[in-house]
Amino acid sequence: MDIVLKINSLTKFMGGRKIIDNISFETYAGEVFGFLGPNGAGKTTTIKMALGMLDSDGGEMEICGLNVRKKFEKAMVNVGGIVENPETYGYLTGLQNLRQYKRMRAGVTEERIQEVVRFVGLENRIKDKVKKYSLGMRQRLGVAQAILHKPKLLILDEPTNGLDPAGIRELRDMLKKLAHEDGVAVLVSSHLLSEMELMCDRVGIIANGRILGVKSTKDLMNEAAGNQKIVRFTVGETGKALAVLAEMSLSAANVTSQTFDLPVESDTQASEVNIRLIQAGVPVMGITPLERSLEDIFLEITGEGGNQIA
Amino acid sequence: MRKLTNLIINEYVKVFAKISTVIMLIAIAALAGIYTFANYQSVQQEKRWQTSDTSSQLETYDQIIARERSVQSPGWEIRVERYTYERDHRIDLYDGNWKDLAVANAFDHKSNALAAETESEKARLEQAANDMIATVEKDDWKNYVNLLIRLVNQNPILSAEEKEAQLWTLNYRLTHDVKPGNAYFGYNIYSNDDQADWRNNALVMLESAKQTMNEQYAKAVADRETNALAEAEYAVAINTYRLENEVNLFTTTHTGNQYLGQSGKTPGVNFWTVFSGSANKYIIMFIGVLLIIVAGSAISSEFSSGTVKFLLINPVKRWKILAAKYISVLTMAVIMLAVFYLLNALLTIAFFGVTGLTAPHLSVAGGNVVTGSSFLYVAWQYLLAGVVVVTTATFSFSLSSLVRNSALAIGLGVFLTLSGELVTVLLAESLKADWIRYILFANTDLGGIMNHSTLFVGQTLPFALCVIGVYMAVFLLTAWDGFMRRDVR
Repeated sequence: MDIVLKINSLTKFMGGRKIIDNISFETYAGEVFGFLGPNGAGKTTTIKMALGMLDSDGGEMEICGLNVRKKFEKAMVNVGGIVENPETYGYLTGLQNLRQYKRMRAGVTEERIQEVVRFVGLENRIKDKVKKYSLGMRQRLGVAQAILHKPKLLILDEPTNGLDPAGIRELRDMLKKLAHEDGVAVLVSSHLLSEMELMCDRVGIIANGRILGVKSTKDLMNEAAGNQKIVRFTVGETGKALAVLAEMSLSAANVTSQTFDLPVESDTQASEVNIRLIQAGVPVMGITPLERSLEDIFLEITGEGGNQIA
Repeated sequence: MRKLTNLIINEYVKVFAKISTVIMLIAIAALAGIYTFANYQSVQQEKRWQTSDTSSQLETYDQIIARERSVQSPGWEIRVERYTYERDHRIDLYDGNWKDLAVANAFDHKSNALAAETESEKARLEQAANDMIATVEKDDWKNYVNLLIRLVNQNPILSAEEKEAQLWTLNYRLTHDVKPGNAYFGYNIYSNDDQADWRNNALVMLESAKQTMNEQYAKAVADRETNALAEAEYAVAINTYRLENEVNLFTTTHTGNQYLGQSGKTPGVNFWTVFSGSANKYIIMFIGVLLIIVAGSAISSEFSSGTVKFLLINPVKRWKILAAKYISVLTMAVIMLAVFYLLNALLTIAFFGVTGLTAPHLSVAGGNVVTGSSFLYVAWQYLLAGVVVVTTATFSFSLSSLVRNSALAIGLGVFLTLSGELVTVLLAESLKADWIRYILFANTDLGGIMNHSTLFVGQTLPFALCVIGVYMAVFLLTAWDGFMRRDVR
């Protein structure tokens, strides 16, 4: 697969503090890459440096093999995006806003504008002034602006901000279509992990200005499934049950009067616990395996490096 | 290049989509209308005043006589005699006609006769006075002029040169049928259509300028700094040219010259006084305020609204965005000045008609009168006034880039425009220091500098342009630095 965005040991100091520490990653054509991290981790700063809006204190950025600093205009031809909030000229209409971008980019026709407007579903409101738009509509206009010139790299910073659940779903489908059908490299940053889990092919996790790992979403999920499982027991009386567990030198979490969560190595171990509980006269009403979400893994991973922020 | 043009189009779209711009443009158009209308009204006022009835004039004569009697300053008896004569013979006070002048002249001779040292001189002066009164009573102005010619020829004090100068104007009156009369410095509305009247004005100013040249000559040589001699020479050249070439309405660069009428243009309110007056820096200033608003928010508003990130995400280098913004401010200045010029021309035609539209622009070069286009001259005045506008707009532009705060950039820009020249004058007068000549606003009144009415001795146009150039360079470098090097947060 073609590398579209290549970031190599990017570093940035601000006020004597190293806020971006040696970040490297790549995104490929045809994939949605999730850039995940808590607020203040350095996601937007990294994106701004990649786009030449901020000076870096070391490292290289390449877009489609073109160095952003040395061949800015040629590199930026391949980029579309939203940085932070989708800011637009409120006193212009949606269409006038898009025409502003049309004039700055080569090869955008009026037909293309209409096509993009239909794609983001703004055809009814495109002739209204943008100041009358809701945040969700501005987000859509932002996406329209970003894909106007059919870029090879689409960078969306927190794109689900202000979207309702239906809108988020639409955006997700839109981005997947752009990546998987049109071969665009999509970079999405977010702190909303449940969202990214459904949207991204790969994720890079960032905390405290450092990349903690880049993995495919599948791998991450498998890892989560492979290691340990958590099983929730619903029992008649937790007090007695815990005593039994203590005999087996196991410890439970999230204990309530009726339930407790137990990390187990395998299903066999869970059934063993079940047998012991019944033998001890503790009624077992239910055993439910709990799936570990990306969110859990994320919190686990960033928990190591992200304590200062969290 | 295409990219830059497109960026400039973007700036224009943004500026003119704002309601505030539209309101400002309407205000500027309204200002042009008000300016022309006010001039038109003042002419109407003047006409009403000129046609006031004679009964009120009789009262005025009575008041003048009563005042002379009560004050009793030297020579009051003769003056009372004169005003009584004028009242009794119904000589129109406001008309400024030749009779008024002739009566005044006659009574001057009478009073000189009283002080005459010899009997023959006394007799000569008395005879002259009586002859003048006689021409008034016969209502024969040509005889009056002939009388004046005779008196000039007889006058033993005048040099041959002075005689020749005075005789030239008197003979011109006879050959061109121009009655003597009072000249109106700057507000003679009749000069629009009364052919005789503009000639009279030109003749009176010519006489007066020639007189000054004689009187001032010795003084001017001793004191090189006085402009009086140069101004008089200028006026003699221009007015002689006008009289010989039948030029009624004209424009000229030499402002502040009393012998050319109050505003340095042709006397009276007409198309050209109003139109060239519209190049007034206080009127152009309003265009300046609009430009300052545009320039002062050009960069900072992109930062405060966050749209700068969506500018910079495009395949366009930063300097091109900056250049496009500045070029759009500059071109907007030129376009607005041009539109304002046309608007004023049309409004002035609407109120004052097309009389004198072909009036030439007169200037003096090496003793000869050079003619040019008056429309070009006024356009040049607009350009000179536009330099301040562009300078202050550039200042706001750089501030907008440096502090990224529209309110501050616009506020300071407007403040400087309104107070810059005043503060500089106050500083120059209170400190009397020479370095003040390097302050920007000591150099922005280019129209004044061209006419040598400067704050400092030896302030020349090239010097002023150099100082302005240095300031502009500093402003633009600041703007560059602020936009190119700073991070986008």
